[in-house]
Amino acid sequence: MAEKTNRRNFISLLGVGAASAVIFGVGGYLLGSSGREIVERTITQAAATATVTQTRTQTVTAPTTVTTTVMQTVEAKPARLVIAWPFEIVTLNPYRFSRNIPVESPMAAIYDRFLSQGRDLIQLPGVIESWEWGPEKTSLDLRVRQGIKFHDGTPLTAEDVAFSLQTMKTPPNAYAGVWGVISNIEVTGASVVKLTLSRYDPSIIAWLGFLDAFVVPKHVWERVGPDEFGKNPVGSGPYKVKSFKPGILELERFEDYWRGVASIKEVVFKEVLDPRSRAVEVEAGTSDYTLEIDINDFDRLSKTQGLRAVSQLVTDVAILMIPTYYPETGNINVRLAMHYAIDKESIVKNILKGHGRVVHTTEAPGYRAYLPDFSFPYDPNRASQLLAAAGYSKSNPVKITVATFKGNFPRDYEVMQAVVAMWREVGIEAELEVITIAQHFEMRNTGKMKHAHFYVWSNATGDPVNSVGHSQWPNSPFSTWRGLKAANLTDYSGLMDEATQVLNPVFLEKDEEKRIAAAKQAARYVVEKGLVIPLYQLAQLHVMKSDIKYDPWPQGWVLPYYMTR
Amino acid sequence: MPVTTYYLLKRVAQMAVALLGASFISFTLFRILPGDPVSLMVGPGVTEQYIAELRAYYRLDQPLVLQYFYWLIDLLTLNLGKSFRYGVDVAPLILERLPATLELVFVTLVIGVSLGISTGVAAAVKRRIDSILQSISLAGLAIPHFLWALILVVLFAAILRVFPASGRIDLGLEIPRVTGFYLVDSILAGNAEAFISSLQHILLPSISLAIGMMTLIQRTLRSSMIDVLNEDYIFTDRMKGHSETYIVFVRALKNALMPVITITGVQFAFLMGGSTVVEKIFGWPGIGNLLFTAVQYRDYTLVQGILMVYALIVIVTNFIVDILYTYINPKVEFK
Repeated sequence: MAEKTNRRNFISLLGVGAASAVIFGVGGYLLGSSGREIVERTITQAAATATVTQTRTQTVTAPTTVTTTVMQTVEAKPARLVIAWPFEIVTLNPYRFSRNIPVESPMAAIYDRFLSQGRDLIQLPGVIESWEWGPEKTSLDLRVRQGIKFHDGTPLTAEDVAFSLQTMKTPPNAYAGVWGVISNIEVTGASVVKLTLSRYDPSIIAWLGFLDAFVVPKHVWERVGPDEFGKNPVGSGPYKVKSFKPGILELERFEDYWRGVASIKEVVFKEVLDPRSRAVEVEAGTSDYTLEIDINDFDRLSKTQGLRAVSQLVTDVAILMIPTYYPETGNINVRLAMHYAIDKESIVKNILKGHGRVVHTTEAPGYRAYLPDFSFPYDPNRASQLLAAAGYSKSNPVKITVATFKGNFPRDYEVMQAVVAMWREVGIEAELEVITIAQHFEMRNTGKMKHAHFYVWSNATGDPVNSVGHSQWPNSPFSTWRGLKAANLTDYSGLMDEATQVLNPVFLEKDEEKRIAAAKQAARYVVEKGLVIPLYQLAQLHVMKSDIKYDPWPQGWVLPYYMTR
Repeated sequence: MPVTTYYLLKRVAQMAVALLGASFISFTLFRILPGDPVSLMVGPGVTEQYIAELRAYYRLDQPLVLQYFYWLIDLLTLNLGKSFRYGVDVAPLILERLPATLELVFVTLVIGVSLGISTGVAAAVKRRIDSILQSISLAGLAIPHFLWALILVVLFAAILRVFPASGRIDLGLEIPRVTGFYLVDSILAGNAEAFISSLQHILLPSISLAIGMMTLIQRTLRSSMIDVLNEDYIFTDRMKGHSETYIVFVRALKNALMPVITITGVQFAFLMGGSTVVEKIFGWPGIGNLLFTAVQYRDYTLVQGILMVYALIVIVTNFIVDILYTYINPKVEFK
């Protein structure tokens, strides 16, 4: 009797289980966004002749003209565009946190910067329609464009510009240190703001079109305070905030935008931090656009019908930073051997699958101090000779430790594994140590770097101050020299004073032509002295629905204003 | 003093000590790890003086003990400080995203416990399917939840396209926020479309988290159930002619559930932590997603705040589990 009952129960359980499974499966399918449509779409896609529509943009050079006029002539076609966004969006306060360039994109949709920037990295008029240096280049007159409106309909004035600058330079805002060079801000006319600088800063113009240089309305900011403003921001950019909740930022176009109304009516930034999930988002059609996905996913999606994949070279340069407070890397022969032994072309071709470009200095094409005629060859024989001169060989290798990231940048660890293998071939025995970016900063600041550090240096301004300057100048808090000085370590290269002299003009020379010439010389100097090993320029991988007309920008940001469908 | 009151007071005191311990660990653990948060906060071109000012602003120039003391004092007034990275108050930031994580964990619990119990009972009662369920559960335990998440997202979102890949609800659907739990709020709003959409979005992440839990419960309940079914009182019940359904689901299951309750309590803690990776994969805007970035950027205040919330939830859950014991098994008493 008990057995009979057991069987009955068992059958009941099985039945319930099976029914649940069916309900779950079918229910899920039916609940899915129109299952029939999906089947039809899949069949259509399978039947369609696959046409690969991969576009590759290999240079950052582009027409220097502002695209304003182009946007004004484009007929507005209402549409919504969903971007699977690789970064968290926590606050829309434009001044709060330090970030990489692409993270700026939602802000750039909501706010206007003081200056805009072309694809060639040249600063162009924006909210500031013209600017003029004062005597000795320690003051700057900014003329504010008239006729710009904030999203609440109030006009953007010189007072707003002055207020924004004042707020930006107030700690703890992210870039207050940068703006600290401005000692006084004064509205001197209906549309003129005068900046007095505590010293000449050649990069100040570039900074007016960079990172947090956004204009906010004084009256709103003062009324609601920075935290509330970060939740319900008012800008003067091409899009205004429709709703902002965790993970989702919905924007709608601003009909009174001064450059002309955007083509895409609504834009959604959808927070999807995982690169594979972002790839799935565009593949499944739930997002229209994504970026920063894995190379394998990119290659696969580039062959998918209905999608367009673009590999865009951006203003990020991978380098090896070489501190000279070790006897090994204090030796110029070792440093140069490390450089000669790296086959960068092979790294770009085989590890990055072509998504990058070899560079020979810290300055990529498009940067103002780019040296088109300079190259540092791959020459393992020369590397061996230099090592021999330093007393090392394959049988008696120089032993070093190299710090790298793993997963912070495309295939960073794999690249460094290849570098280590290349070094081994000439007599450099390197041990790889994985660190975080936070660790890198701490090690750099305290003189505890390894013999070499893999790092990616971004410079969307194109100004040499922000590339060879801050990465190599011994007075910069961002160079390897900072830790050497802080910990009072020995400079085995004996080059610190010389490097200071070479790099000083990049920061101090007031004649722009001479400054850029000095920067080119400095960029060459630090490579020839082995103080840095430039590796390659990174590419940013974008995938979008094929009906989206948009060329990604070399600065790395995503600007829906320039998208049409 | 009544035993129950004494017990409750004792447990509250224990919880307070546990929270204090958690606060100490969450504070020190991160600060002794290498990595400079201020360097991550500032842009190029800053001076050493400005960096020093910023350190002072965030009290990072103070000795660790003092920093901990100040933070603890703030904590008592529910002030979790300002996020190093975002510059906004940590408490509202966490509160804004906490419901998403809790909703995910609760749905995971419902799926994990219900499937775990039903398959566990089935395995114990019908031994012929036991080996099949054992094989399935081995796979469930062997594959970590983040891998399940990837498998599910690729299979159901990319290939079959029957479930969304990420997010909490379809774009364009708005629900008035009452509890922050979309499933509940959509019911409260009487919005069936939003409920279905929320359900669709939560199923894959919660299943990927629930698989491991389900298999663990299943195997534990199976063993426990087999033991209970061999007890004398079950034999007596059968002799009395009670139906097998009554014996299994009323008489045996209640006693066999004791270890399951323990596991569920422990698993809850694991789910809170495990949801971090799953939230990232499914673009789930909870505090796990927030923690992921906060750790990367050494956002001490935000990490500490989130860890304290985790600790509080886990400690309270364990307390509830202990109370449940006494309800399920009268032999367990307050002491």
